[in-house]
Amino acid sequence: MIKTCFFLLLMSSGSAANGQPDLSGIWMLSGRAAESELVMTEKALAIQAEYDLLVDDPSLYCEPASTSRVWANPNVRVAFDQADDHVHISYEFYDLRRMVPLGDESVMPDSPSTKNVDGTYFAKMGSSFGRYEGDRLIIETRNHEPGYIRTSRGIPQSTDTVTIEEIWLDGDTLNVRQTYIDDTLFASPFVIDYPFKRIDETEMPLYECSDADYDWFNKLNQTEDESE
Amino acid sequence: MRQFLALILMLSSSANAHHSTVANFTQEIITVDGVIEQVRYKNPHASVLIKNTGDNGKEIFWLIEMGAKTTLERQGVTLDRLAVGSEITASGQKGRRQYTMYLQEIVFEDGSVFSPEGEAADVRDKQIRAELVQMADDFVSFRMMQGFEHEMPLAEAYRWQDEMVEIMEPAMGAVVGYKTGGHDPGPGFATFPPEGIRAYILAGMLRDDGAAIKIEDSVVGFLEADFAFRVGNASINDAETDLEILAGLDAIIPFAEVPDPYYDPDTRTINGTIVANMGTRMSFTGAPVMIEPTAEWLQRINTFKFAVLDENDKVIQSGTMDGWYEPITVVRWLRDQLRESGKELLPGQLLSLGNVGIIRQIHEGSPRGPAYESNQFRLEYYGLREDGPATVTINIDR
Repeated sequence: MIKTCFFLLLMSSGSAANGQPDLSGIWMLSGRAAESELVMTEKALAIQAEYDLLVDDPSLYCEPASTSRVWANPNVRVAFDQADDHVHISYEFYDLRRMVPLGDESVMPDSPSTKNVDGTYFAKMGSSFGRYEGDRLIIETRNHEPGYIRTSRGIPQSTDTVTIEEIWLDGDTLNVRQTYIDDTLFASPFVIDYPFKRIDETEMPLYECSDADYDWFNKLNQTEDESE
Repeated sequence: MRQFLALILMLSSSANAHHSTVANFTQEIITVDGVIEQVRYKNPHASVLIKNTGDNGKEIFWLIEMGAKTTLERQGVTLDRLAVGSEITASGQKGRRQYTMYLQEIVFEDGSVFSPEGEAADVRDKQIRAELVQMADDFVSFRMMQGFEHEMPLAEAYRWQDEMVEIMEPAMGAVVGYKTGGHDPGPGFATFPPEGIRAYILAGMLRDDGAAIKIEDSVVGFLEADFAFRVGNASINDAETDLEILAGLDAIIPFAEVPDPYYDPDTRTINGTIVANMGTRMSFTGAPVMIEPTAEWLQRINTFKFAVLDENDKVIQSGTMDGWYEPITVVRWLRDQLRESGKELLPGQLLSLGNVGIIRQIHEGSPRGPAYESNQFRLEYYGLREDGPATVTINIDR
């Protein structure tokens, strides 16, 4: 068990300085996401029409399709580590680690902000920088590789996509509001709200995604067919 | 071996985990039998690989998928029962990929059944039972009961209250009646359901009229002036009019109690209050006042006056039922609530209808108010008996 767990050094302060939210602890999605009206452009509709869930879903390769797809996964842990100059977000899903430097756009890295524990970077998660505004953490993300905001419906993101994530506390609820801005895909910003609850845990186990595609399985029956 | 499809539409949908169950699987329910070749307890999908042999002898591998390992682990579900080599029949949603299925249940050769939902429910039930045992032990041992934080419908909370009472019966005796609360027009309690709450009265809770309690007989207990009926006959279960309900009752029971809701205040919930049987500790009963099913008695019951007095006959507080709650209306609610729980009222059972507006704390430092300093809490009801007040008395042995 110890081998497969990351032990987090969690901040234990009751509140962060300067009114910033104290996001310490382990969080888990606690309800369904709420979406704003989605009005896709012709380009987005064309991408969606071409999308084949059984082939194109990046999840088949244990890869995040978008930051939204990662926030949306139930029953997996999320943890924040807040420092003076950055926020580090650990997602149990796909063992992702996301480094968000704090400051203006100049601190945004050229490389993707998210990698898994094996060191593989994921450009579909974009490059991020963040800041605190009152009691909210604001994360702005750009430089996305084309991906899917919703893999079940093939709602796309593009290289033009900019996302704004607002993260704040409301009692025991952690709210994540993600706004997708992309004139090439959406007639108006597409907003998704996610509620999270703090869970009484301190560890971030490894997810260890494997065999997400069906190649290994398909080969079994191919072999059977070929043997006939 | 056979393979067949059961064309049944499934209405439920599973939680979206790694990939969307709705998107990756159809609504068509299929059944496949075979021998378990592999059990894969992993992310992003737990699964069972089975080999099906058709009538023509052709062998086909089927992938029987489940939720992610993380989800199953969180629910306490293991796949230990799924042994390689077992002959099983699996049912579930047909996958959009060939030879795949999202598992609903697996039936073993001996007829036993495995389903992730069933296993998760069993795990949860065991956990809740363990919590109830602890809660009951804490209550009878005067230790603080911890919160019951399970989200569930009220009906399920009442089913767990039944189990709680079964656990408590060896220590506190058999069921002799019910109590209810939350029906008066006063401010409601955050830990009561808005429509009212009910709990059991057990034989071991009953005390004689005039019995003395010690301060240490409760932890956070309070003296509460109540009002109760006794069930006269089973006709009350089908009674429709107020007079018919009254005909199912044979007596008013002067009734006072000492609840002891010693819960962790930070974790107290509505469901917790229900399953903890409202922290019911001691109930005091006076001499019955026999009643008749008449309009005149209905009038008396709805308008009688009452007071609490101390050992020096000093009136501590007085009041009237007029404008408080209508006793027969509360009996009807209690009867109907019990019926929804599959219970019928039995002759002889007590029905305590709740506080009539007078409560005094026993212990110092209660947020509910100062401690009662007198040595007697005597509740008198006026206008119910011809020869004087009906009474029930709690003495405090300091």
